[in-house]
Amino acid sequence: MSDKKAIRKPVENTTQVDISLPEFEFLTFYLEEKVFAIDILKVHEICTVQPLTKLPFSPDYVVGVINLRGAIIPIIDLRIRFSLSAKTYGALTTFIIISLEVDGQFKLIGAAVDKTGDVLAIPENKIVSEQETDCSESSQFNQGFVVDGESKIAQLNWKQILYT
Amino acid sequence: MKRILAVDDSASMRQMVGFTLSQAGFEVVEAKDGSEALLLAKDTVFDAVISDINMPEMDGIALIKALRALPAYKFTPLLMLTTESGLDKKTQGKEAGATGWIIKPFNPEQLLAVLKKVIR
Amino acid sequence: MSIDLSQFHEVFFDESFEGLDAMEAELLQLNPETLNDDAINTIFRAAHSIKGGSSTFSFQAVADITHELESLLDKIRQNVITITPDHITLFLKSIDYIRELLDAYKRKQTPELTQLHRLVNEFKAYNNTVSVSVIASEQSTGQMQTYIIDFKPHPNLFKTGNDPLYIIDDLGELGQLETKAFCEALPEFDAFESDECYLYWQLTLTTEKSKQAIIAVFDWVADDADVHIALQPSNTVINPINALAEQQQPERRSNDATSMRIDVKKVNSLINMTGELVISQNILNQFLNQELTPSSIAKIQQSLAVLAKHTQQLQENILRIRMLPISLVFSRFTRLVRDYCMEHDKQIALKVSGEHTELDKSLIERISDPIVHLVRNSLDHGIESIAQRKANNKPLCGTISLHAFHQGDTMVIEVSDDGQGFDNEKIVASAVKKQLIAPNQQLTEEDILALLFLPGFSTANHITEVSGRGVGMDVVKRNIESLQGTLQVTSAVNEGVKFTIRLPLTLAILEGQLVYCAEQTFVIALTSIIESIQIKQSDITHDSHGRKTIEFRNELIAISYLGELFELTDYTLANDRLLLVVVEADNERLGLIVDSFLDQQQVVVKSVEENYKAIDGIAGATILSNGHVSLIVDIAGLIKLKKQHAHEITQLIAAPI
Repeated sequence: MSDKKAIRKPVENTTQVDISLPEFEFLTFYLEEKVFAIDILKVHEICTVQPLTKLPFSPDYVVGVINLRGAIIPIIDLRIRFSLSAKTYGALTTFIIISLEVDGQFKLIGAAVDKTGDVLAIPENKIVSEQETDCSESSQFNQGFVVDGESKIAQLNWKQILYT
Repeated sequence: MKRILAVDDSASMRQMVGFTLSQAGFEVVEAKDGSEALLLAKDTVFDAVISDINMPEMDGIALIKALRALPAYKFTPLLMLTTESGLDKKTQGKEAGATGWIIKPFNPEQLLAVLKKVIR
Repeated sequence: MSIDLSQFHEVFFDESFEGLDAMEAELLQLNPETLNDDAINTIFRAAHSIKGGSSTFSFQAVADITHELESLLDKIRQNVITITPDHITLFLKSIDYIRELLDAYKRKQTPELTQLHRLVNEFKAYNNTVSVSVIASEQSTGQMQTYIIDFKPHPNLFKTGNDPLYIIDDLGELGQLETKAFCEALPEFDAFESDECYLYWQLTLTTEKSKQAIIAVFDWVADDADVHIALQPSNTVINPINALAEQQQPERRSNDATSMRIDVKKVNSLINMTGELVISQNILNQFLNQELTPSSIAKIQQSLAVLAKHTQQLQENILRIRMLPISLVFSRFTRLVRDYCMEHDKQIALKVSGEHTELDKSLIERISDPIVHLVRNSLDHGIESIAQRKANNKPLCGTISLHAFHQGDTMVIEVSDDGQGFDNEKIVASAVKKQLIAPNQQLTEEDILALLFLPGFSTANHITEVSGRGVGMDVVKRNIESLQGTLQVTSAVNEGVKFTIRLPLTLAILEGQLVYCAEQTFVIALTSIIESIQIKQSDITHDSHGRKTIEFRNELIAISYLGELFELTDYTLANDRLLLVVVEADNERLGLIVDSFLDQQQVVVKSVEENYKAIDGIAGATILSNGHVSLIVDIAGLIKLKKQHAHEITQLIAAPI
């Protein structure tokens, strides 16, 4: 599946790292078995499950607000957003606090995910912005993907998740 | 470094005079009226005093009179900041012991040019 | 050396606006009959400073008008002219105009100058002068001339702080200078006084500069020296043209940062508090390396209590930074009342007290308009005409009083007058006419006055051009309520009216009732709670739309389960006894059923909108002592919501009994 032409194999020394392309770091996280990636620069912090206060007149996936050191942060449950089966929060459940620019102002929004994975360093040419459609519920929120070895990891369009 | 005391109740004028003089290499102390200036002058001997006339508490004329009476300020240049309308103030100031005057409005260059008459 | 003068503009604007306020305040208090020098001096000094600054910083229009203003003030100060009310009016008009000019300069706009000439001419008529200022400086005659200058200082020259050497140096800068010193006057050594000047000079200067330029060099010593300047016989005539050096417009720097002046005392108290915090922290740190014993635990608890106290004080002090005196609002009324009296056949004195009482900056800004309305109401409808007061045996001069004071955590502002009071019959008649009440409705005194605040009541003949402006008392009341405040009125015929505004000192902190409902805690502002009561299911009735209602103080009010109103939970009336919070906003009441009442406490208001979006019926959030978020209910929003979705709520009827 991966784009073979794009992977430049060092000819002489296989341990040598290709330094010609800048790399970007992505945090991976899981919903069910599916893995997603988010640009680490967008991640404000990650925290464990905090007590939630429900908000009136909000969509079901906005599960409430938490107190993050005095700031009131809304939490989006991605399982509900992607119409996956509901699951109670466990020890691995994580709130990823994302800094999102909306109309010139930065808002902090939390995403509840099943668990977080590794941080990947992805070279620039492995970051693909085009949309990959499959039939899963989450595909409508895809915003390109990153290629890590043999696998393609979806990136999400957070504004779409929040405001549609 | 020569030390100058700049006295004016208007903060903007005081800052302007202070900034100009410090840019020109003088050490400047600012005071907002005559009585504050007099206290400072008794504490530190200044090489020159530039004072506004119209001030609350103690006005510039009274300040000059009081300073001139101090032994340390017998020969010190004491300059008044005055407006062209205050001609009688010049006379009053001279009588009180002022060295000279600087006419408002003035720009930084004019201030320094005038100051050159008494302190180098 | 080039210095950017624009860096001083901000300070100049600030001090000028302050100066204008001070001038205005003094002028308004000025009584020509008992004129005191202090007042005139204060006004003069402010004008003088503004003039000096504006000319220095090249705000020419301001300099022009303040020059005239100052000249007239000077004449008044020296008793050349006796001050009249016309003068005061002209001064006040000028102050308004100078404010406009400064505003324009501040915003880097070209000021409107038509008024300038009118005002300057008005002043000139009083000043009776055409003053032309000539500044002698180094004008060039365009021709080389040679002057012979005899310069003989008086012995006391040094005592003026002048130095002949510098004067001669100055002269040397004008052109080519030859000097010749004379020492005949030097005494014998025994008689020599080191602080006297014995030397004198003859100076020969060849220069293009005019004689005025030379005179200017000796300007300071004119009385302390004999100076004689003569043109060396030649064939040229001095050209006496005085060209005023054009002031260079300094480049303007954009600096629109909003700033706030803070009293040094407040800053100092913060620094002190911070110091206390550090000490408390250090005391606690000592325990870090110690083994815990019952006695050390007790000490830690003690220290924590101190720390908590200091933290709270620090919070209070920080909030106090934003507090400003209400005089900022009150001060504008002196002018309003004065101008009103000049245009109407009324004599009114304004009495202000408690003007140093402090209020949050954001509230200060927003309470101004409502107070203006109340004062206008008193001006227009409260205080009678002179003739009317005479007929009623009242002092000819009416009084409007503004009084502010703190009552606990509340700011109370009273606006009262000694006018005619409200005419209850007229109010009732007007309300009936507008179909706000039934013709034969029985009303108490309180009910009648409450009619004033009904929307649609005060738009017609009750309000004239001054108090009107299309805004009724209902809007005034709503504005005050939007600041979590209340407005009350009392009135007595022929004695006057008193409006009482109560406001929280700050919007950042709210006195709240915590309630539990739908498995979470909500905060309801105490100011919007009328009463918390226990009701029985059997008390609940249904209105014609099928909505749940209850009789409360002889009035049917709609009731709802808070959690259901917020669509957080479905609800069935399970218990026979229910807890009901009766709340009010915009003159409407609503009963909120909750699961339980918790504490009453001060909460710090935080924004939900900041990271999410505005939610109907929610005014914000706060963090409880356990760290959980609790939502603050917006009662006005909730009542609006309830009205909008009235039909959706009808299903509450289906609840089992």
